[in-house]
Amino acid sequence: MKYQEAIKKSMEMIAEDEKSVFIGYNISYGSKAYGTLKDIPDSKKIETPVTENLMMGLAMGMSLEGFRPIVFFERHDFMLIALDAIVNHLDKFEVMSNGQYKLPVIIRATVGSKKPLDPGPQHTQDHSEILKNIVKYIKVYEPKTPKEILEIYEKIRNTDSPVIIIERRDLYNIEEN
Amino acid sequence: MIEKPKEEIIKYLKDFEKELIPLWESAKIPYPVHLCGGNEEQLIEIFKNIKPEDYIFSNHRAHYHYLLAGGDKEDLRNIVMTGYSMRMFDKKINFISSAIVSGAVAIAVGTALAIKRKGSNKHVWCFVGDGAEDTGHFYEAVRYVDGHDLPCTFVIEDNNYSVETPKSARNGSSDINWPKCVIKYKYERTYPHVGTDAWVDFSGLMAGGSSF
Repeated sequence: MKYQEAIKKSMEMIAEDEKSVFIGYNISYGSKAYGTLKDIPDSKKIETPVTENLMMGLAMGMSLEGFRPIVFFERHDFMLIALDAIVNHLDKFEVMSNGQYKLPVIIRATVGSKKPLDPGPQHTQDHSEILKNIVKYIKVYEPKTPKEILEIYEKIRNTDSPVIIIERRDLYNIEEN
Repeated sequence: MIEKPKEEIIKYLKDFEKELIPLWESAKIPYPVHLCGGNEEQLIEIFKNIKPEDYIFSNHRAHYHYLLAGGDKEDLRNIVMTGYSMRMFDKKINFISSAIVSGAVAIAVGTALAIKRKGSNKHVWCFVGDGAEDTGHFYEAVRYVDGHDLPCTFVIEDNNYSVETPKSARNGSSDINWPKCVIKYKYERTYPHVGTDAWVDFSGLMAGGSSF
């Protein structure tokens, strides 16, 4: 199974939960999250404008009402707009509210690839180290193999707390038995 | 909403803030406190439409919202004295706040979207100042609520100041006509951005510092 197929399979596992909802842009249209959400029904997906702060707000707000949102960012470069929502809100709400509010939001943070076309410095930055250091409470995972993808999603599918999963487009075609 | 005559509610609100003033001015509150004042009547009118099960998203100036939403006065005093005035949460009354300008607006939209999907008749009320009205985050949140007809009302509490900077300096003479999910009222503030007009000496005081 390829890394990309492991992500797709994990997304389909998450979609089995009636409370799960997929949020982002290019998820019902365009690449459908690089193909990983192409078989998820549209009723489970919320296609948003390119408004990264709003995307995170939709996820956090829906989680307050019992949904289990998973947000797709197709490149770290674009995710920077959402850092206020992630760092000042998602990361801190449980602690600031003394545990009254838990936000089970999963973030897919994808690093762009330079192959086959190099889209340049605003589309291929890897901010993994910054992401790991800028949040205090959110768990950040960096699966490097298809097996790790499957293991991590199995582990966090019922999480009560927010999680960031860093994925890399350069790994999408690596294969593992 | 507190079930009392308007004059009694106004006194109840004003008295709460007044009781904090000697504590602030004698440096007994080692945290920033943003006092409310001057908008009692307008808020009482708005809260007549707010149901107990509704969500309130507030901001750094949250005391009146909390009391009018049915929050307990002693709980609020404890919140203020322990440094939580700028980050107030109370799940009993669906009360959430953020001290980031426009920080809560997108979250309010998400809650409204969830409510609509569930077919619930709750409503989301999101209170912002005219400083938040300046931001792009507010714009994208309002547009989403308007376009998807979500059960969310934004209330702009316009006191003409973003911290201490007047509107004329911020955006000149610009004024925006927002869609119907936004209501706005203007008021003359009673107190400055933080604390009161008094000079307070905090130099001898060692705040505990939060663990955040």
